[in-house]
Amino acid sequence: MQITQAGGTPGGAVRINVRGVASINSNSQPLIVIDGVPVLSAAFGAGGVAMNPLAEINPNDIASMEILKDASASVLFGSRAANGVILITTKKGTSGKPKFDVSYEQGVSSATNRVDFVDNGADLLNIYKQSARNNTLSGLTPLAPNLRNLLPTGILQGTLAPGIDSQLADSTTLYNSRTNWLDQVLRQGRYRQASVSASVGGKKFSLYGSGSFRDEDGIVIGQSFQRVSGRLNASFTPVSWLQAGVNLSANGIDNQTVPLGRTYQSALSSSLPAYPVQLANGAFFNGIANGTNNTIGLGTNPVFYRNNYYNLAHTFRSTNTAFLQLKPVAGLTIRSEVGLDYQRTKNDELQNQTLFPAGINGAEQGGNGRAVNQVVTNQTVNFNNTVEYARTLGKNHSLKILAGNSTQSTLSSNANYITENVPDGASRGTDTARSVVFDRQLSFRFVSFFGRANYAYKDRYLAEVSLRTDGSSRFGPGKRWATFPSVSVGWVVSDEAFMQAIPAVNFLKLRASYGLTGNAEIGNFAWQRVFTYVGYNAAIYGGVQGGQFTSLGNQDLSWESTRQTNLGLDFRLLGNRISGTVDFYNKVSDGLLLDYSLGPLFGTINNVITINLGSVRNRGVEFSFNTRNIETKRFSWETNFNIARNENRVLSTYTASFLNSPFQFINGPNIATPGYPLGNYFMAQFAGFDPQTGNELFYERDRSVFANTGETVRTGNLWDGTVNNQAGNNNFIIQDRTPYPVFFGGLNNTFRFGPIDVSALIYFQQGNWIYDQGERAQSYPFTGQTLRRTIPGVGNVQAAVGQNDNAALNRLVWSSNARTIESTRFLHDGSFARLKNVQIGYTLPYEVAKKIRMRSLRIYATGQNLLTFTKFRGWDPEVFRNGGASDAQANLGPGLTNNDLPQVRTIVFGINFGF
Amino acid sequence: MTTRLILTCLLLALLTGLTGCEKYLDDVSSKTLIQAENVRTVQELEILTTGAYSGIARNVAFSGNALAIGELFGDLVGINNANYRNNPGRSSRVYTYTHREEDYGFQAEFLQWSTFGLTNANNVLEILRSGQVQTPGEANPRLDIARQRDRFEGEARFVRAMCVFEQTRLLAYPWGHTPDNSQPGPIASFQSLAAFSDLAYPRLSVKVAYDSVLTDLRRAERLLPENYDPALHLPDYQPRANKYAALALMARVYAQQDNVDSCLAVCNRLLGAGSSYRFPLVAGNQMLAQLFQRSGITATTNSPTRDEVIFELVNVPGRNVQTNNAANLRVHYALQTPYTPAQLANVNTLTSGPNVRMSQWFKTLASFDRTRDLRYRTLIDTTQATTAATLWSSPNRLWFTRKWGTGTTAPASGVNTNVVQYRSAEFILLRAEMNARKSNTAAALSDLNAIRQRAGLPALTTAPADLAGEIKTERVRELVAEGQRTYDLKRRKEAIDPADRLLSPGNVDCAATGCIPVPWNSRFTVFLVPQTYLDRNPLAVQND
Repeated sequence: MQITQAGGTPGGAVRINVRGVASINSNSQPLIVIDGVPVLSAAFGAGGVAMNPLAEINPNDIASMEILKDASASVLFGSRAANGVILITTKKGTSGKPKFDVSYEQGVSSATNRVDFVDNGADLLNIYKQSARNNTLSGLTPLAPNLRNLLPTGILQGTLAPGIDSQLADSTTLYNSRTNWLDQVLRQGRYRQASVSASVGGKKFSLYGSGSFRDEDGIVIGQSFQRVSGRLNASFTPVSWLQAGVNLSANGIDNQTVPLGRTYQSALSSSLPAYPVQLANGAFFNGIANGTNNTIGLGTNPVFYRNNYYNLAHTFRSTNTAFLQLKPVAGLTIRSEVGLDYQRTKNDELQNQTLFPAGINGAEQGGNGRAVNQVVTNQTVNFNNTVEYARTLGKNHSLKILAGNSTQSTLSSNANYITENVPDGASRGTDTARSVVFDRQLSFRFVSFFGRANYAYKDRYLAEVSLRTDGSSRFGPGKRWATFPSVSVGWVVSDEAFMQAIPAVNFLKLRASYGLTGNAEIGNFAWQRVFTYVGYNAAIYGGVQGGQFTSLGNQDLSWESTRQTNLGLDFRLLGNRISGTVDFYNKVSDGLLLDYSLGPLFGTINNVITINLGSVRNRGVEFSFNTRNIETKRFSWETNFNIARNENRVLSTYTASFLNSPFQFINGPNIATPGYPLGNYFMAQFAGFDPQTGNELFYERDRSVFANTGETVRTGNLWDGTVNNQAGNNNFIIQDRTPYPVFFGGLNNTFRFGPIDVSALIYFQQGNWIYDQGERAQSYPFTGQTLRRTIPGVGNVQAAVGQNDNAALNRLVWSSNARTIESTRFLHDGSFARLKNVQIGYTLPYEVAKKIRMRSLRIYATGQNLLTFTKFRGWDPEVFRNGGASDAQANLGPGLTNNDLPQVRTIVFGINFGF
Repeated sequence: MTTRLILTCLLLALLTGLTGCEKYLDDVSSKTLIQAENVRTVQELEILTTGAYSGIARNVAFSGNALAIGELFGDLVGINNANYRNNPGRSSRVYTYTHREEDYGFQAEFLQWSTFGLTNANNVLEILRSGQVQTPGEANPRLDIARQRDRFEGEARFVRAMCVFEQTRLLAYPWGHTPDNSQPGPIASFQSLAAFSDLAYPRLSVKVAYDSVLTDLRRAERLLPENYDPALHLPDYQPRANKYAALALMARVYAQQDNVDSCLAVCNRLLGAGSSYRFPLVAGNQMLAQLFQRSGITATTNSPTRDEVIFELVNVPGRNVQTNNAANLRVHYALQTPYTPAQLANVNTLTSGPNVRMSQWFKTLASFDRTRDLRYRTLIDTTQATTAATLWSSPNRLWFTRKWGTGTTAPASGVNTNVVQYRSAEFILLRAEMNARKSNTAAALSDLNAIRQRAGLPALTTAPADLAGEIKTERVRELVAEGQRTYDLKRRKEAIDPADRLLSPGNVDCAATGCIPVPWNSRFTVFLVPQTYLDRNPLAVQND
């Protein structure tokens, strides 16, 4: 399992890949089940930030978290378990005296890395000018190297009408400025979290209650996050054959954001060090988008943007279950469970009159401020009914049979108002631009029936068979139902007589399983051919709202299914000092759900058709070892080590009579084509620079071979990318440099010296390649483009311009056509090892604690991401690519990074005590 | 027996259960999406048809790019704002004939939204064909599909013809380039895509494309009403096309095919025989206000009382207008802020203002009667010059068209205005041209004089020796900046002069062509099909 956190965004999403990515477009994230209820885990964004359902739960409430990886373990959630299931069980009351626990932690965070940019106006503008002079030599249109030509409109004084020209900067200011925009947008983050819980129980009841508060400021300006949460778990057993209970939780989250594109990413792309934050007269530079056709880019000054932009999402979420369990006769358990997951987000986004002035380009009404007010609710009801019968026949045979059904139904409401002409201080404008309102729309439903039989002989030979049938409203009539069988066997070898002769082996179990699971995580209405006629202002003609052809639909759309074989081994050796598991799996996913992009020229608004594309295989091994190296009364040392290898390969894609070779699905610099991993790199092959002109050269692809077979081979010729972008016909399937690691794993060591414990977790991955799109953009001088200080193939350009090193500078050509070519020039080895977590703790000895009337007391300090070892020179080798990106981008571009926020380094101090 | 009974009961129970489940799953439906098979009413068809017009009316489709391209390839405009040259974009690459370097270029923006209109039109046609809209017993004729069916079909066919014809002019070598016109034509599909395999279809040939366009237009001419009839039509119909819009487009299509007889016949059907035109010319001193500064639904567009405008794309202020300040049409043509004397000191280094101005070549070609011609006096702004004494013909006196707006952001200055697509002056001149070619001199002269007299010029009493040449010149004066110039040259198989490109520094504006005239069927005036389309349609071929 690979877990990646969203870089540095509070409450941001995590990507969890259980045994490799097995889908293209469909959500490849595991199903998250809290106390038996599958919760909506799709990004529920506010201000373009994907939210993480796990961020809504108080970690102190989690009693256990279990990950179901293979098919046989997934019967209860099988149809939607193709990506694995994460089962979260929250704490229950424990019997005995009431117990109270209090914890508090507080920490600071900062970016794990900074990339260096050309950091002053004079150097940057001189590089611009030199690169413009190079145009003549390189064969591009000659261009006079003056600032008027090289800067965007609306920067340099004297280029706009007199009325607004005073807001621009003169050339002296531009040359003399050395604004470090990263210092302006990044900051030290901080957070604090407190929680209390109480637990009490008796013979007939148990109660657990908790409350927590978290307050966090992210590392980027304008981001903050607050969560208040509460939970109550209760169960009641009035008579031995009846049990009833509830798990109730509620939390509120306030999340304030400014889009990263307007802050952090703006600092990396269009905010030049030559621009001052404020002009000499105190006015913010380049803030106003004026209503002439000389539009000034919004957000070129992130500070100005942050000052005039407001976005608060308030989310209330309540996840509740209630159950009733009967045991009318011995061995028979009847259980009924109802779950309600309610989620309501109220989002107010405001651009004030300064940011969105009257007459601004893009206004739908008159401008003068713009407000987006949205209230979204999702309400999911689950019913789950099971009957289980367990019986032991004679001494050796035990049998368990389970049958059940479940339904899930989600109702959504949405009220979305966009208004303009927003008075100062108001949160809503007076001119309606557009609105979408719908109430209680049934979004999707699932119905499932399932059965399972377990048989064990002497608890030594184990077998299980299960069958499950699922229907989903996300597919059309005739394609809705799918059946998922599975079978598994186990053999506890260590129980055999012949093993008694080997005392070193305390436990040894062999496991094998085979089963099918499904995946239906696509749009709710993807199979339908549909029009929209609300909410899309562009369809107005003659003052009347028209309808837009939204989606082609696909009547043949059906379930994606995964066949998985698993062979496993569990062992404990040498008096249980060494334990571990080894697993081999082979997972083949068929009918991959793919949102195929139609591009803009097929006349639909959605621009996608969801299809079942082909199949992909994930095959791998997982080793996990736990050793207790030293165990004495005063000192212990324990090691956990796990390492895994997953090999991903596309087995087939769409074929048709008119295609010479199986369809190649291309998404940016990534491709899905048979024989290669999903999202293998597909880009131009960089061949160095022309020594005469400094132009960028690329290998030419043999077009006829490609047209006939889909294979990419070189002709031996080179083409000049500076002069002409011919990448479309010359992209190569890159061999042996995939986005996936050859292996990855973790090493955790825990030491205890009496009351002091120290643990350190190192995560590592080896052999993956990262494509840095941000670096590409930042390597070519172009109108208003920031530049990295060190550019691949050129070196330190700031030093070069200081020393007039023309050999290096000749490789920089103004507005080079190569600037949009995705090529191997920016493909880098992304192997890394990272000290993910270090913790030092002190636990007060029980006897001492007792004296001060405490049950327990612990203080600790934790450091996260303190050290990183890597050759990668970009922001962060731990690439996270799902901050609002589509599933396809995340699944197909796992190694792609484009000005993504790096992971944060966090230092936390905390205290827990119980009484 | 008992076992069997139990099994049967169980099976029945299971089946009823599953049927119930099917219903349970069927209940799911969207409140914002209309499923195609659920379109059942006239109002819903009205919504889809409005959507079709909204696509073609976009400022990157027929309210902008299409009109701009027709001039940018041509010789009547030259670069005004040096940034347009120095920071080449999709549009300036059209002007410099380097559009093949830009994959997703100025034509692609047009294709995106015109295809959008086209797809909606295809959907309307398919829904009509399926017969799923039935309104038995409907008393209100405005909601009775039996009374509305023809009109819907006519409108959809008109919109489709408009899109396919323009696509063909942009993406294909012109009519006559090959003897059988088998060169690849538009990329449009004539059916609404419904399955993945529908993405692959070959490009129609130019011949077949023209045939289809004409078939659609002939049907549209028969099916569309003469005008908006409130007793019969919902108000939504007011800003849309009637049968004369179809005829106007048909006249252009025949002209592009150089089909003199058919073009003449269609012009006659459109204008009515003789000199009292069905769409009477507006007064010469009212041209700016009544043709180019109209806004919203105007009574004369689609009512029995007509004026010069046959069909326009309607923008209702406050409702997502497509002629906003950033619209291509205004960015290219409208002088919004007068220049300062300092800026005018060197008119070749202006870095603000519209992308293009009228070319020196246009000044020569049009050779206006500057004292009388109202088109010179009211439709062209000649106030911007290096000095007050600068001669009209000097490159230092700048000419800007006022047709697409002036001033700042006031609605009367071009913002929020309608965009005229067909006006009768064009077809009067077209009829004159066709009559002249058939040596119907009197008829040709009569039409030419109507245009001249409206512009404040005296009528020609006798036909000049080069009547056809005179009509061509009149067309330049009348229609400049309305997007027809390139296609006029192409249909007449005349080369495009490099014109003011020769005045650019180092001749960079025509470096691609070597600064010689561009032949009528040159590849320099044929766009490439964007790669994004070819990537998805393996049967589509690229232009050479």
